[in-house]
Amino acid sequence: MNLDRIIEGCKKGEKICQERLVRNYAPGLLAICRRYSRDSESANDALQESFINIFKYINSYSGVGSFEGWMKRIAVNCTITFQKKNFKIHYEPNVLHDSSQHCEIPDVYSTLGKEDILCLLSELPKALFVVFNMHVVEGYSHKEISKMLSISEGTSRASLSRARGRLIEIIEDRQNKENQRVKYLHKI
Amino acid sequence: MKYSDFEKSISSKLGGAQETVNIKELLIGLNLDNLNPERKTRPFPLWLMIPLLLIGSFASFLAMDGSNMFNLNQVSDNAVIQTKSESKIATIDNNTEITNVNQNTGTTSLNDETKSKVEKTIQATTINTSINSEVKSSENTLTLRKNKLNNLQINQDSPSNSSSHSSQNLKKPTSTITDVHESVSSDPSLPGSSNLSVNSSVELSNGNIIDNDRSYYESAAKTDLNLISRSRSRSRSNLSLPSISKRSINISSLDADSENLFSRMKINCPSFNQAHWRLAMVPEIGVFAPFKTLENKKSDNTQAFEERQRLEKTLEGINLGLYSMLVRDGLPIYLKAGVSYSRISERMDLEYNYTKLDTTIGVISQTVSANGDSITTIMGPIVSEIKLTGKNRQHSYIHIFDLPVSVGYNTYLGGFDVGVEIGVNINLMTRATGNLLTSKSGFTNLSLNELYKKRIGLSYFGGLMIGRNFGSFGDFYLAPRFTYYPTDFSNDNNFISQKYVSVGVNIGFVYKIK
Repeated sequence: MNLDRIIEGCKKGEKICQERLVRNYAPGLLAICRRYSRDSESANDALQESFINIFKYINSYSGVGSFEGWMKRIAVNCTITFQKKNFKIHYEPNVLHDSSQHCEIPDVYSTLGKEDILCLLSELPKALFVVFNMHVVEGYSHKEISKMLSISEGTSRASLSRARGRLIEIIEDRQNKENQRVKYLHKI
Repeated sequence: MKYSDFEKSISSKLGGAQETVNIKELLIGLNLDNLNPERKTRPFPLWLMIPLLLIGSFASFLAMDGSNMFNLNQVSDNAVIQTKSESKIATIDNNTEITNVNQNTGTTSLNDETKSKVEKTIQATTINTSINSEVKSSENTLTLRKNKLNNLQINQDSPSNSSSHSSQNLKKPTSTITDVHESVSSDPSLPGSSNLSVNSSVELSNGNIIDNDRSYYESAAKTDLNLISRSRSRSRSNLSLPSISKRSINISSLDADSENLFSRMKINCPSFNQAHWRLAMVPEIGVFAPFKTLENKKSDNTQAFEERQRLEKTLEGINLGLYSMLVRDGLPIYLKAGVSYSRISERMDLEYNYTKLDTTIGVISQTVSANGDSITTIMGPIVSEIKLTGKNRQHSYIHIFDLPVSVGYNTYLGGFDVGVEIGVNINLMTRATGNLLTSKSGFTNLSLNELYKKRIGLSYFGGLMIGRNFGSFGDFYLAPRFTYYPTDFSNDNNFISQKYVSVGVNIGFVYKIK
């Protein structure tokens, strides 16, 4: 059963197509939900809510653009909305100079696995993490982010800058700690 | 490594990431758990195809063969009518010929009492002179006619009619010929009277017996008339009428002798009065629509009762049976008994709707101030409410094994066997499987918990039967049927009383064994 048939079936409410859609796309969408959630339980709930919304609004999908992207956006929206119930995310509108593009990152970070990256990013404040994730990983523009998070584009840019700066600080901090540990080991 | 490259590596690693999902739980949450792809692609129950195919073939047979059968019946009826009329004509012709012989011989001076005797004597005399030479050939034709008569008996649709008709025709010529025989044999003055062959009587009488076959009768009548005519012309010179007129004959004594005559002839006359019991096997299959009545036996526990009454749906039932049918020839009534299996299905679509509370304690929210300092906030216990809704579909089945006994009345109308039957089902065993709602949201496995009776006693049924004969194959029939179960299916453990009536249609095949 190809994707077009699945979409058509879902539009008609055919459960067999809905089930196939769930089986095909649930793993990818769960990864998204996991990134925006603090725990796996809420991620699962967000995933279920995402599929409910997908089935509910699938008739609004006109076929223009990637269907997978459309579903991802619903998943992100659902997860964020879900998280908003639990967390108050505070965004600072101030714009900071973004100097992260000139920074050098140790090569060891290019070999980090998925879990390590998530662990690293989890050290970011929630609000910054969300914007960073949406922009860097999902590829949304600041305009899209501003709409989805109901913030201004400037706030979105500022949050991204701060997230980058914060991430660099975290990396530097980790690197310093690692260097100290190595020096300590050398002394011993 | 530049920071931009680092972001790209993050994007590539996290962008296409996938997580292991518990699909089963997710499908349950989305109410897609009871979805069976094969079942979905099969919207029509396969088992229902079997009776539908049989019904279809039955209907197509009726559509194709109905007109032909009707024409054949018409032809058959016309043939019978025509044969009867020709039979009468032939009898009249015979009498006319004999009367003519009488007149031609100049016996007008005879009185009325002796007139009939003279006629018989003349007839016997004329036969006597010619019959000896033709008896042998008549014997051969008699054998052929007997064979033909047997075939006629077999092919007759209503043997009772043909038997009565044939027996009526049998009497008249037999008495005539025996009279002739007696008069001739008792009169020694008649020349050659002792040579009168018994076979001649047989020839004439049998010629009238077989009057149902039109073609046969025509040839037989012609043969008889020709025989008399030829005999008359040849024997006219040998007649001695004055001597005949002097002879007195006791007509009343002829009947007793006629019986002796037939006993000497050793004729095995066909019998149409012997009725036999016929046995047939009847396999049957059908579907029915059960109508359920629920009643709450306990007033304090109403949640499950209300949910069942609101959401439980009775599906179509199936019925299989194997019967033996006993029919007596000539009687339109039959007896039927056998074993049958019925299954009643119930479907419960229970809607559930509840709120799940998630409590998280000690959640720390971190934000960054404008100058880059991180601000940590302890939110405390956070309670989130999650509303979950869904549908839980469960089925329950009641299997009923019965011993049905019925009596029916059957008649033939417009090319169809139409009948009515009533009967009683003696329940042998009742079993329940599946899951039954016993509380507001809880199902009970019926295989593990007995909530229905093991036997439901008697149930009653009645219906119509419309059948069609398929020649040597037997009869196919279609039987709309109504069944009433007066007994409550639930036992004492089940506080919801459950009764049924059902309306269905069965198709069956009557295979005649004997």
